[in-house]
Amino acid sequence: MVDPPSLVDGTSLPPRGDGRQPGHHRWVKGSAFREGAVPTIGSVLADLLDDPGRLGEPVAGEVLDEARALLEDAARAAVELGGWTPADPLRLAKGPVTWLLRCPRRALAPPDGPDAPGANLRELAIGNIIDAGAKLATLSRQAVTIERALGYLAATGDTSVGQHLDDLGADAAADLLADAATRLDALVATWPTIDGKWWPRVEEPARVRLADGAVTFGGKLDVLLGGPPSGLPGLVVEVKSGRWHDAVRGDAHLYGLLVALRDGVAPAAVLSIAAGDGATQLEPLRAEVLRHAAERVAEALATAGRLAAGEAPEARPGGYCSHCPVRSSCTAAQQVAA
Amino acid sequence: MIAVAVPTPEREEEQEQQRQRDAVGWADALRDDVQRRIAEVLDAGDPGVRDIFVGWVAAVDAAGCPVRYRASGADGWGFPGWSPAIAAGSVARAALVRHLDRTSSPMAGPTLPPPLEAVRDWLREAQRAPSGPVAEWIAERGQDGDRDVVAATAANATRWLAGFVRVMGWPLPERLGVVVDNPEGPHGRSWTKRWRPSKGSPVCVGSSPDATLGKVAPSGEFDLVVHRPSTPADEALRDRAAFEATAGSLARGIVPASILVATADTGEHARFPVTPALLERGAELIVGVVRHRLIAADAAEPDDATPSLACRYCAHLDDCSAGQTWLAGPGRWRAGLPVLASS
Repeated sequence: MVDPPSLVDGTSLPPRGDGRQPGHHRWVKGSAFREGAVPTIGSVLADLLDDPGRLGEPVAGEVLDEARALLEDAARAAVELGGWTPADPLRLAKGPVTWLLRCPRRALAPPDGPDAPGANLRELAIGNIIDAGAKLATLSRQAVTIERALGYLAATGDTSVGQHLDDLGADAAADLLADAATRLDALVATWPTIDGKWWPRVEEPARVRLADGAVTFGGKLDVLLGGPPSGLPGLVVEVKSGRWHDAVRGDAHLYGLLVALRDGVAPAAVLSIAAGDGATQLEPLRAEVLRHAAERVAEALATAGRLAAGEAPEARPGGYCSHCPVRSSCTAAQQVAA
Repeated sequence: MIAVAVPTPEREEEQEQQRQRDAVGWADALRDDVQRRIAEVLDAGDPGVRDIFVGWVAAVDAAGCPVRYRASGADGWGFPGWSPAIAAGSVARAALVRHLDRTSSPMAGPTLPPPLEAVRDWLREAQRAPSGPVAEWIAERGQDGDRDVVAATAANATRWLAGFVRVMGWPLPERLGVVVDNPEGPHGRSWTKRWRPSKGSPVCVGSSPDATLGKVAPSGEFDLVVHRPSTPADEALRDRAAFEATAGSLARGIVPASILVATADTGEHARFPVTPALLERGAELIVGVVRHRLIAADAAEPDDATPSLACRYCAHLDDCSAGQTWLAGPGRWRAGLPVLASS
């Protein structure tokens, strides 16, 4: 097996006891589920849980104060332009932040726009099933199957997957479930048992109030381990159902920043897992990573303020245009496609 | 821990009144006032209306959009039945108290509870020997083999417990008592939850604090603690404090010193001193529920919808022109961002 290129510089992780450098198994693509191959999703997570000292000292103090101050200034400037109030706030989450930075026009597009991509419903359903399976694997010591994942979704009140399966008809539903089962089985087969001392939590909410509540920035983490007051370093685990793409990394940074601002101490690292291809990335949350994440949110806030003040949303075509719900009315996207 | 700026009483006079107050006499006066206002509303309405339960969910719903509250019907007005989401707080509190009681000794305080383990232990015990409504529900789910519901309940309760301990701080405040159904040890507290304006009244007001801070005594030198996994808008947070201040005073016959609202998603807590203004807001919320229940029984349907983001998820949107108009307008409908103009 040839190691794919590392996405990040992981030098802040101390060396493993076996002499391998920490970067060695941070990035595994394609074969992570293969028996005997090094390393697996499970082995990356299990290694961390066995030796949390490897994660190093979490970032706290001045770096987080600076990040909060940057966001507070950006939020107040955005409110000046956009007029949000605590009763009618701007509610940023990772989706809007991503689109405000990537393509402001898309950020304002309704998800049920004229070109809403029906094909995406399949991936959304699979994503929900994989998420549910990962959460069950985190919390339960019983075998996780696709039936249990569907049962868990229903128990939590999520009717969207069941409704989509009903709408699809028997053959298409069976095909979707088979695809989901392949990804889920591979994911949970290597998922380690997580000791209760790690305070495993799923769907953990984190939110930051800015500009006296006129702006909020929040999200729900798939899995959060450790962090105060557990006595262990925090570890964010983000599960994606599809194949690896670089935005996964940016999402993980935003979650790390949110938890850091909420708890007053950053998680030591984020572990991103792409169930579609088995790619696993462990990234220490160093000061520079958190600063960069805060700068991205500040930039998104500035764009949001200008848009709310009436600026025409710029279209920035890219590979994502094929799924855009307003692509047919976008001249920029059509010019690129032509 | 990060603390939200403490709301200040509107007037110095109120602050002085609070310092020199008679917590029991104040609660008596409040009971008289709310009883009178509810009686006035009942007298003007359909005498056939029974079973008006006024909990904080009903209070927030009725204040948020009267049309939506009235249209929710019998299913929406009462207790909707246990579910993983609704059971989370009760399970988490019971699991926390069980852990604290069992790990305390005369020589040492309790140990830090591992949330998932504490919840699992309690769930096992609840299925073996259920005591109390939520434990009986869990036991029934276990008997039915409905392990996904039990797992979802465990997930929600674990998150609740972890958030509560994180925001309250560890070790927990010395005089914190966690509200549970059947407290047996030093860390649980019972709480009188219901108040009826008079014997035989169709109205029942339910208070639901998660914990008390300080000894609940006629001095009124104690706080009620409300833990929220997620944070609503500031106004809704204040309304929750107002409702619990008034409902708690009515139920217990003592006005607490303040309401502490903890929010797990932000890691913050806000202390609301109990003032006449806060109690008045709580009384308005309570009387509002009674009023709208009676209006719902009437054929007339006032046009008092309060459109908001909630309209997107409202089951009654198809019948609500105000909501439809609001959603069709240029409102900030998605995350507070303007909608893309159609071209």
